Amino acid sequence: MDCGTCETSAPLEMHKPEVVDVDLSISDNAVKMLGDAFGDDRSMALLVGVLSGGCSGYMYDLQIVESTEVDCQEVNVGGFRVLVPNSSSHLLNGIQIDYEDRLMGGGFKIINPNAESSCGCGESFS
Amino acid sequence: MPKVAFSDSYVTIWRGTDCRLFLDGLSSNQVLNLEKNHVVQTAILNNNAKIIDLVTILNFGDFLAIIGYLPNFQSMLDFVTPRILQSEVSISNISNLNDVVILYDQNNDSGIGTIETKGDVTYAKVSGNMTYCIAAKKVTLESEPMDETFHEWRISNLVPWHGYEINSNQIPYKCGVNELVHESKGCFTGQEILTRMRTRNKGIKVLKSIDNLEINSHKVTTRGLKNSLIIDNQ
Repeated sequence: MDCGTCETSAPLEMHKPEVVDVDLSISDNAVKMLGDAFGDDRSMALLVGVLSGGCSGYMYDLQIVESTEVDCQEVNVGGFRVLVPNSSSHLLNGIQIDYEDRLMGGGFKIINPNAESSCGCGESFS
Repeated sequence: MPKVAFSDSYVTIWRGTDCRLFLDGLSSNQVLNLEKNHVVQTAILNNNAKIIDLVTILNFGDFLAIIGYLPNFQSMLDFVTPRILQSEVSISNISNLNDVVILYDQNNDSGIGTIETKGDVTYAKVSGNMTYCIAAKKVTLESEPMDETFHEWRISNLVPWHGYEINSNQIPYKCGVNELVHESKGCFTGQEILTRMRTRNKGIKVLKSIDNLEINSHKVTTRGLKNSLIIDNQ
């Protein structure tokens, strides 16, 4: 097979989504839960990202991080540092981060005005 | 062993540390654990579990080679590339550098799922009776055109093919590629629909080879000389 390494087989032009300045909000429940998780330490940040996959094509990715190598924009919401990767900013602009206190299916939820549909568990959207 | 040219194929090279994880999330079969020198076939599906393309993935270690059906190439890229986001995935189109030939009618189960390079030709055995051969265009790969002999064999062996049974209106469970849906790998695009079909045993169809004299012609997906392939209820 000719893998193109020795030829001028350039990578295909990828779709580069526009980077937008993300505006997001956090519900009172989510602020309370983040306060419990972070304590008084505000050096940590909540990374809100999007990965490919899940039942609907995109999956939310929430992490508590100190820093990240991913190219991000930082938003301060409710006294918390929130990091959003620029590569997924177009998918996350306008979201609300909520927290549902339920024994089953509870946890952080993303309410996303950009999502046309989402899967049953709410972790995936399109 | 008969050989036919898969002339309406595309060949792409995927590089980057996230390739397998990325493809695992967007297709029906398990790709994440695909080892070096192994091959797997999987269906890239949209949210409605309809086939965007059925692809053959070869792991060469440093990169993946993906063979698909050329008419689906642009729709595959349109679906895949916006989802790369921050993943480390780079795709190159090397279709114009390589030829793909299908060896069929082997009936030998040894080495299924492995790839082997002999001289200038790479052999990827995707099933007991089908092997994909890829070689640079400068290498002469002898083959016949994909004509009625191949399709008669497909009809006899209930093998679905691109543009016939496998097309963009089809769900894997409705076109004879059930084995490409991994039942326990976790979430992938279209999975909810497929899982619902499987657990309720609803809507799943199978390929049947039916005598042309007994056939309802609008159901025919591949017409043969004596028998034809149809997609029908189980």
